[in-house]
Amino acid sequence: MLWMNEVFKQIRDRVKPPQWASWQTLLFLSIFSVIVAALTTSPQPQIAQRIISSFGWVFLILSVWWFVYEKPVKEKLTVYDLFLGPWIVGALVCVYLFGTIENNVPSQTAFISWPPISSIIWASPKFVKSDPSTKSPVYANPTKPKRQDIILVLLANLVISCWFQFYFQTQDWLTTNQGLRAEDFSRSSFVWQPQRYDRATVLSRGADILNLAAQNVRTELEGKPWGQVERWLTQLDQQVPRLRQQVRNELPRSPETDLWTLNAQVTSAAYDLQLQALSSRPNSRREGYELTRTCRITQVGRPGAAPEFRFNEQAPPATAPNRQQIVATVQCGAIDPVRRIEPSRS
Amino acid sequence: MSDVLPLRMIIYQLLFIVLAIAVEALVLQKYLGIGRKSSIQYASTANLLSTVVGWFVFFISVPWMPAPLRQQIITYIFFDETNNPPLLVGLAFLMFLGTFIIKLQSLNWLDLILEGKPVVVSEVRDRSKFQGRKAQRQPFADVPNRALAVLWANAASFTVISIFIFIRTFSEQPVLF
Repeated sequence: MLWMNEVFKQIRDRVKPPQWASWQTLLFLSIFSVIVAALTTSPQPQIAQRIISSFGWVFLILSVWWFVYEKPVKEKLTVYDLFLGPWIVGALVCVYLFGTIENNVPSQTAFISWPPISSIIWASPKFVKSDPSTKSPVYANPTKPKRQDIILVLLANLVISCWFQFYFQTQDWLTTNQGLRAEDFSRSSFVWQPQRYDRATVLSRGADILNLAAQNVRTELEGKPWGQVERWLTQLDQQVPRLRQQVRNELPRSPETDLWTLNAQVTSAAYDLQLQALSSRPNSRREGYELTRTCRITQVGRPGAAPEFRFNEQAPPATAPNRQQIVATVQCGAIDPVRRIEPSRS
Repeated sequence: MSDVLPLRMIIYQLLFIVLAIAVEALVLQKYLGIGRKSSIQYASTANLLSTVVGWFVFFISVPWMPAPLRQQIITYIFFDETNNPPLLVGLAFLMFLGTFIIKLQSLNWLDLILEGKPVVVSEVRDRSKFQGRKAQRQPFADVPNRALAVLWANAASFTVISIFIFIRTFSEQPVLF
C-alpha cells in the first residue's frame, strides 16, 4: 500500500504546476474542459457542448500564449531576431475561430486571417506597460521605433495574407476552367506546378478522342445507303458538334480531354474524311499539337435481297431486275504522327 | 491536395519589393536630405502599403470584371501571354499613378503616427519679413519638395522593375524551379 502512495505522490509531483499562476494550470483547465465536453450530451444544436469545448479552446490558446512567452521557450523560438511565438498562437486562434465555424479546419478564412491576427498578437505586448506603483498592467502608447516596427510587421503580414488569397484565387480559376488544369504552366511567372506537365498523357488523350470519333463515324455510316451518306457529309458542319458531344459523353471527364477540340473535314472528292484533334489556341504563344486520322468512305455494291418467287400465286413472277444497292463502307487508317504547332509570335 | 502553387509570384514579388525599397530609399535620401535609416523606413512602409492596396484592388475587382477581361488576366497569369498590350500599358500607367498617390499619402500617415502630428514641410516662406532679392530668386528645386521626391523615387523603382520584367520576357526560357 505504501508504494501506491509513492506512485500517487510522484504523479502529483509530475503533474502539479510549479505555481498556480502558470501555463500548466491553464493547460489542465483546457484538458478538463475537453473531457467535460466529451462527457456532456446535449440535444442537437449542442449548445452546452459547444460552450464547454470553446472554453477548452480559450484555455488552450491562453496556455500556449503563456508558454511561448516563457523565457527559455522564447529564446528557442527566436530566429534571426524574429520571435515566432505569436504566429503559433495566431494559428491556434484562427483554427478555433474559423475552423470550428466552417467545420473544415484549414479553411480559406483561417489562412487569410492568420497573418494579421498573429501580427496583432505580436504587437499587443507593446501597448502594455506595467504601472510602477501598483505593478498592474496599464495601456501605454508604444515608443516611436516600436510604432514603426508594428506598422512594418502588420503590413508585411497583410502582404502574406494577400498571397494566401491569391493562391485561393488561382485554385478557384482552375476549378471553374477545367481545361486549364492539364496545360503547361512552365512559362508562367506566377504559378509553379509541382507535378510537371505530362506531354504523353495529353497526347494519348488526344488519340483516345480520335479513335472514339472514328468509331462513331463508322457506326453511323457503315452500310448506309450512299445517298444518305452523301447528305451526312454535306452537312458536316452540323455533324461535327454532335460528334464532339458524343465523344465528350463517352470519355471519362478529365482536364486532358478538355484541352482538345475535335474537327472534321472532307479532304478529297472521293470522300476522305479527315478527323483532327487540336490542342492549341489561336494567337497563342504556347505550342500546340495536332493529331489527324483519315477515314476513307467508299461505295460498295451490296446485292439486294434475293427476289422471292412465289410459285403458289397466279400472277407471273415479277421480273424486276436484281438491283444492286449501293452502300457506304468506312475504312479508317492509323493515326498520323503528331504534328507540333509552333507558337505563333505576334 | 493542390497542383498549382503561386511560388514564382511570391519570389518575384519579394524581389521587386526589396529592389523598390532599396532604390527608393536611395532616391529619398538624396532628395529629402534625411538619414539612411529613416529613408529606408519611409521606403519600406510606402512600398508595403502600396503592395497591400494593390492586392486589395485586384481581389475586389476580379469578381466585377467582364468575362473576356478575366480570361485575359487568367491567360496572363498562367501562360505569361499578353494578347492585349494597350491594356497592359494602360494598367501599368494607372498602377504608377496609384502607387504614387499611395506612397505620398503613406509618408504623411507615417509622420502622423510616428511624430503624433503632421510634419509641415517648410515650403511656405515667411513672407512678412522682407527677404530681398535672394529669397525671391531661390529656385523652386532647392526646396525639399516631398511630392517631387516621391515621384522621382517611384519612377526610379518602376524603371528598375520594368527592366527586370523586360529581361525576363525577352530571355527565351524562364527560370525553371
